[in-house]
Amino acid sequence: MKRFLEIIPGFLSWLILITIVLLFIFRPIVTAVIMIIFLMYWVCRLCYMSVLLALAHHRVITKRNIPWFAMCQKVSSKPAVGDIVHIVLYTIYKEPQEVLEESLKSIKESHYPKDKMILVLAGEERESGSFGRLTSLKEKFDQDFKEILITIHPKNVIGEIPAKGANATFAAKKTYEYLMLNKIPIENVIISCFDADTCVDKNYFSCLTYNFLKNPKRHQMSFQPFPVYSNNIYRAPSFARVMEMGSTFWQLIESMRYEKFITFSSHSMSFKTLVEVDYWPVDLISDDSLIFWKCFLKYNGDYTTYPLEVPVFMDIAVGKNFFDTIKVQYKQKRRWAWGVENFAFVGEGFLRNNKIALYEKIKRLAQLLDNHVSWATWAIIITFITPLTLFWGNLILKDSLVLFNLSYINSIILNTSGFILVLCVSISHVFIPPRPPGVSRFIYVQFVLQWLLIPFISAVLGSLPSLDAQTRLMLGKYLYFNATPKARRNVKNK
Amino acid sequence: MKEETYFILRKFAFWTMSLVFIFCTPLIVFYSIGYKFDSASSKFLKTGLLSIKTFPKGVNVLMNAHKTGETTPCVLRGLLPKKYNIVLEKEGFYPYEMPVYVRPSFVSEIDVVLVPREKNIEKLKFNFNVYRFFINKQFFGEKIVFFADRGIYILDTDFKNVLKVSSMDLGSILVNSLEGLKQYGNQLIFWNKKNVWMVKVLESNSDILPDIVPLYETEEEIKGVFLGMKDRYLIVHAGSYIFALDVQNPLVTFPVFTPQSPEAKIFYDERTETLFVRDSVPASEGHSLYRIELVPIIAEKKEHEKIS
Repeated sequence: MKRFLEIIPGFLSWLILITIVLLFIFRPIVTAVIMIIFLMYWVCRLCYMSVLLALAHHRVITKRNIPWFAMCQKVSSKPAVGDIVHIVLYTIYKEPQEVLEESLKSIKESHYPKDKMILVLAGEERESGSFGRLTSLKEKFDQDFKEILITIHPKNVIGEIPAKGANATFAAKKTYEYLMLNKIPIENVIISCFDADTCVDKNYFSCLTYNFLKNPKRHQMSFQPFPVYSNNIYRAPSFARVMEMGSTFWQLIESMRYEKFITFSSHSMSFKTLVEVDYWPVDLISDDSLIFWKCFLKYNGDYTTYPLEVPVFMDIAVGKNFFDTIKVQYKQKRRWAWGVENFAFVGEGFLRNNKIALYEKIKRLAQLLDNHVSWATWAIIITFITPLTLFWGNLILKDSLVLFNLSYINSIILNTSGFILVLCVSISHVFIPPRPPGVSRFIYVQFVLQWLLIPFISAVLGSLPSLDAQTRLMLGKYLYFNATPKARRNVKNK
Repeated sequence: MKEETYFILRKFAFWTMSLVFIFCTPLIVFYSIGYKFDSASSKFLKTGLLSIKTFPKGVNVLMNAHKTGETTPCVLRGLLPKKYNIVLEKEGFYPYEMPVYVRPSFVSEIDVVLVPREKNIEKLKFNFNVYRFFINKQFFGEKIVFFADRGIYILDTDFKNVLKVSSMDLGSILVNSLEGLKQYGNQLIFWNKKNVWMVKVLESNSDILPDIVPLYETEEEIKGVFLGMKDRYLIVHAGSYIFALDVQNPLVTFPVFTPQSPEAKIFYDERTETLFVRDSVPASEGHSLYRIELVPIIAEKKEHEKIS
């Protein structure tokens, strides 16, 4: 059954792409009509997503800087704000020391009592000298927090794959032992699992604590900040900036669809819940989203993700040079797209669970399938197949009215996309950190013009990695976790 | 704004876009196929489209003697399938009238060039008696070479620049007997049935002009002249001979091919330096094609000259 479910997304994506091409060769008029319907659907969907983006943007700018800690103190709940302990877990594998220091510094500077914060630096035995490196980091920040724990995840553990989830799980289990030893009740503990380059907003922990306290179903809820990839924005190539800003926008859009919002990358949740669901998966790559589905299945569908109003800042994946950056970006996006493995995981889980309503199961699976199949196909169809269709149609059926109108509708769509690009440019401006010294002010012109790359980038670094991931999963050629290289050449961006 | 308000706004946007998709898509698809609701007959009718392009642009379009209000380039949509009389009008141009048949679900195209009513007529500002002119194609456009009573001239097609090549008056009779003219670099070569001449073209007007050099003279008929071998040799087909003639030293000639038949035809491909000859086959009544690469022939000749 698992294999069958793994095949479905890739099969469907390829079926859509091949059918459109074949249909156009043999039934060009029918294909043109289908393309018109498809383009109309995407215009409507893009407009809807733009509204969501504008709403999310409004929500963020109006709520990001409110006095969250003062609000925490006003919440009358049990546990109270003073009872809450934060575990901040950093999974570390070969990230440069300056990246880690900058991340820890951001936590140190956050507006939340540090005596309520325990840092866990989760290193890997695979990385030689990891313990020494983390120890020097601990010595530097030891006085600033309640405790800094160092864990080293052993290599070659049977039943695990060398991935972030396995490391995070090992560290969380060690943390559990520490909490038990120190008699800290785990229902009062919030754990934040961060990538090594995650720098928090100064209000992050206050906002997180407030939302944790005020919500009665706090143990049936994950808390998701929106990731802003801006730590090295002034040093990254234009296409990488657009790609990552697109990821931020996607998270903002998703954050407005509460009922289907799931965890992604750096996120927070109740430690009690984490223990109850037996931590993150250790044999799968997309641990960040799978933890949501584990909880969802555990609580029979009564589990949600709350979109936090504050951001976390992360690095844009860059390589040693332009072409290496393309490679790094492609591999990172393919790893993200490997989240398609969730479909089989959730499908199997739904088969075993009789308490979740059938409608809910179908809706959730359909949403997952739609997300991944759309990701793999729509940009390829719009960027490559539609222009080819128009070109080919002009050669073989120059006087066909449908093909003539397809070209007309396509031009309307491009104009609509233009409006959406203007919206993107104006919203992205909010997330760009101040220009560091030594960077020309002409970079702002680049920040505007870079959005013109969107159609090409969304196909090459959006759909293709996704199609690649789905094809591998379909063929049973499983992907191994590929840590994105982190390099902070300009650490004073924020 | 409260979370509930965001939720309501989101739902509003979702349903608005869903309704737009549900109601607009069928209309757009029907419209794209060519369907149009005809209020007179209360029926959906299949229509066609007329695309009109003109040179120049901005031409008024009249359909069945009624103004459409459109100017070219334009697209007239939703036309019922039948014959239309289209008139294209623009001030300063002759109106263009044509019938067009619009077919259902098809695009009919009109692409016309309008002819101006008033023409610019410009006379050569010099009072020459022009005997004859040739159009000389060059890499960057074309030039006019004309023979007049005051000599040979090269003229830009816009009449702006005139370059005097020679002061010699060849006379009307001789000029009108010319069979062809070609320019290779700075050499202007022209010929009639008995003679081939060459004159060097200077880059600017000068008081001292080079003479017209007779390159070749024959009692037989010159049937074709080509320039080959890096513009150094004239390939001449005269009478029953095909030979190469050194342009810089007209005394140097050598045979290239001797056709069997006086009706032989030749073509010289200047790009590949290859000569093609249609000639009769010995001991046969038929004809065949011959392909002769000139490079080895001339190289052999040069080598032979060096040795001797």
